[in-house]
Amino acid sequence: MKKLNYFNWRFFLIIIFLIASIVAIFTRVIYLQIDKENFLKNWGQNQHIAYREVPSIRGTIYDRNNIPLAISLTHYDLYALRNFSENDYKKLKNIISINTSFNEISLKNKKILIQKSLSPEDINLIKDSSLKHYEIEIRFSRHYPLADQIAPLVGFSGKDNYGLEGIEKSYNSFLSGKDGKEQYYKNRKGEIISKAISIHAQEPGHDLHLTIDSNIQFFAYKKLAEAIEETKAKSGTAIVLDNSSGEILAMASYPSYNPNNPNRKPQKNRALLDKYEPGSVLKPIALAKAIDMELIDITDPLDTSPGYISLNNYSISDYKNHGVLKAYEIITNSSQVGASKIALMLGADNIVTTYKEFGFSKPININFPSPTFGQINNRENMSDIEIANLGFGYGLDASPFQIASAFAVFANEGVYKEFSLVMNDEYMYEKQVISEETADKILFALKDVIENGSGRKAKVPGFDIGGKTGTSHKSVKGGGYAKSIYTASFAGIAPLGSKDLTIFVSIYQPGLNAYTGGEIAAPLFAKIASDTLNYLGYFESE
Amino acid sequence: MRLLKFRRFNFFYDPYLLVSIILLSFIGLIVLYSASQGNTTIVIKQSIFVFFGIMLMIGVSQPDPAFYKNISGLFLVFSIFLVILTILFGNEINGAKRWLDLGFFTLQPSELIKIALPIFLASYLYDKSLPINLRHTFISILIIGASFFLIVFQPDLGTSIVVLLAGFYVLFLAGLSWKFIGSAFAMFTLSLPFLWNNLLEPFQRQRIATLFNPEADPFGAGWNITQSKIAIGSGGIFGKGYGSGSQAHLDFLPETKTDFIFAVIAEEFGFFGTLILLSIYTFILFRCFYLSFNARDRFCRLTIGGLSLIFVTTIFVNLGMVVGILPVVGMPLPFISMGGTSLLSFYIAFGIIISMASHKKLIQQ
Repeated sequence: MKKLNYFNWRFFLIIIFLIASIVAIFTRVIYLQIDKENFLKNWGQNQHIAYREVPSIRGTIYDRNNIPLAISLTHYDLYALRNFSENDYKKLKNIISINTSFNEISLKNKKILIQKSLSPEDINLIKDSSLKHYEIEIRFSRHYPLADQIAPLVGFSGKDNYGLEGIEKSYNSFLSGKDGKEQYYKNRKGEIISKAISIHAQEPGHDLHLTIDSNIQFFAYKKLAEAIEETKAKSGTAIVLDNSSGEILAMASYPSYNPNNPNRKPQKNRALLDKYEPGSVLKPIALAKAIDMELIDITDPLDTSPGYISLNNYSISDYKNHGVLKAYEIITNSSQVGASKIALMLGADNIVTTYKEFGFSKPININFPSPTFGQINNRENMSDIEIANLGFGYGLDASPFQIASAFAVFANEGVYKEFSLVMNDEYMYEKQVISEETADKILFALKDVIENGSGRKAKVPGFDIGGKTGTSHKSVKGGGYAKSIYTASFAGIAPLGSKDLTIFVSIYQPGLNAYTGGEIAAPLFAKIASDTLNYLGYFESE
Repeated sequence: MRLLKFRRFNFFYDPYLLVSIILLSFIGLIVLYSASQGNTTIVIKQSIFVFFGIMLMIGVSQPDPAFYKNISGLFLVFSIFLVILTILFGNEINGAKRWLDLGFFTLQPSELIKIALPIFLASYLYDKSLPINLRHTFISILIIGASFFLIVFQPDLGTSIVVLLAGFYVLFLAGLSWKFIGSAFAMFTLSLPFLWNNLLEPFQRQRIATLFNPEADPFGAGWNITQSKIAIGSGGIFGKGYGSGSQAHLDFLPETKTDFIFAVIAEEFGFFGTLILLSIYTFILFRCFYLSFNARDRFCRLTIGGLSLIFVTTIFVNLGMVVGILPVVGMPLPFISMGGTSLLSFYIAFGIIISMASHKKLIQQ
């Protein structure tokens, strides 16, 4: 028994040692599987789970008649994955015709493009074949059917499906939708070895319907471009508004660019981004307020002789002595002296308030990338010359769209409206700012401008229209006005019977001797108005 | 009790060991199917090994233990001869000559020494008076050392250490004097720097260094152990399910069919799976200890003790490596890992253990 015991206690020693070993292993397993489970699980998942974005298609931008202005096309591109072999290449070549040589594919060791924009037939052929180590990726390209006609308004989106300019930019989140996410497994070599599982599906972007009528847009853009080329001007804009619905029918800007060209050079939307001192085109506003306040009536006489007026050592003069004018004739003849006297009659507070009610010096309610709005001189204790300046459209600046919107008040029976660019836009502001009678009286004056005044060239044969010319000098830094840089503009309402359309055109820095609104802007207005009225099916009133 | 009498011959077996080893073998095959990513060829080949292994084990357990006492010297000499043959003519894989190609089977003779050496030492030492005198100690150490160095120069550090331990276990159980153990231990400690610099290959030093800091190079030297830890941890309590272990199936885990098969079990069956497996091993171990205590003579006691300690050492080295508490050495998990010679040698070992267990009562009658 002694021997046995001798063996036993040594054996027990080893057993104790071994039990310690088993306990060590167990402790370690518990530590790994229970204590560190989540940490190690995540580590493992990060190694073999990968994610891929599934791009969502961008919404279409339509005009009011469902004609697409910006549309996304889906392309299927074929890629070779890392282990795409020469065998795979031969197989592929038997299935579809490809332009890429195998060397171009095999030289690199990551996934590279074999063929862009596969046809649906080719995709099916490839999918039905036994080809491996490839991937078909969805890509979207954006197309702008109207190209340069509307580019400054619609803008464009970049390669990554992100709006970079214009409506594409300001409505980006609405148009772009949400990208989906897919999960797949990859092995140690990084090869994808499972079918992708969708984590969340992509949501296509929303379609956007603009109030633009692409036919009217076409007329406006074409005539504008022609006029600017003819007059060797720098730039210009044309806006057509539907008065009763409060919708913008056309907003053309020149020069433009082709957004379909990858090397495009964006041009700004001058209707919303330019601003300048509008000049005479605003004269009817001061007169309207004076009539509304019963300070003067439309046919009351006003003496403008001797053709100039001196205020605070400045002289304001007409090009000739008009003598005693009836109030509306101030508009007809675009008398500076008459407009100054009306302004002084109103006083600083009234005239500033009126302009503000007509939408000046206020942000515009259009979702567009940083649209501009002008400022108005409204400091306290304005001198008479400053008040007089406001009377004929100086001392404030505005964008062409603001001027057009203000002018529509006369067509809308004295109601100022915010014009919308998007169909069924709610929350558009409206306010009666002058009485209906006053608005009609101004329309009478505007008609006289066409019949007998500076706007004769705006006449549209067969239609009664009303409008006002404007010729403003470009302001130069440091005050004063540059004598040779002009903006010629014309704002008009057509036809006067139904008062449906407000059309505003402006031409910046015309290069020839003809530079006034009456000479170059009025004919442009006439052309756009004529085309638009014909297109909309108006019957000639005579 | 452990004897079935047939008309012509007696059948010797131990139900506990037989059932648990067959159970382990089946678990091994099932896990191998997943670890090999559904490769039926590999599984069928391994099934044939397992079948012959079990047959071999049952066959080996039929002769009386005296037979093994008598042939132990021959067995050891034959094994050493094969190792020498391997060093001379073996297949060189990754700079190591460990395998003899027999055409239908690739034999790793060092695995046989692991069994042959303790049996021989047991037969040599069982009748020596205690404590073992210096001469016998010296002869024993000479034999152990010769076997050890033969395998070291293959090179196969893992197996050589197991062989060293196998010899030491028997020597220790047989009654090696404490003085000797003490002085040997002191010598070993003192020579550690020398061993580190001269005995270990650079990649082996790297593996030991990696053990203490696997994060230093998780994509290089630390890759195996890092991936193994991820696999074990990812299993959690209930596992990811059979065939769903991403670590093994996506090629992150290395050597899934052999050395790192435990990580596959841990990932797919979780803590419960590892618990079941470790329980079976522990059960086998304690059964062996019981048999050892109740062995019919000192030779059987020493042999069962030595072989079962080899068994548990192999398990410990493998699991220690897989869970990251021991350096990476090529060591299969007994009865689970795919592999020929190691598996066969354990079937032989357990055949001998069963023989010693079941022949006991017969002699006493």
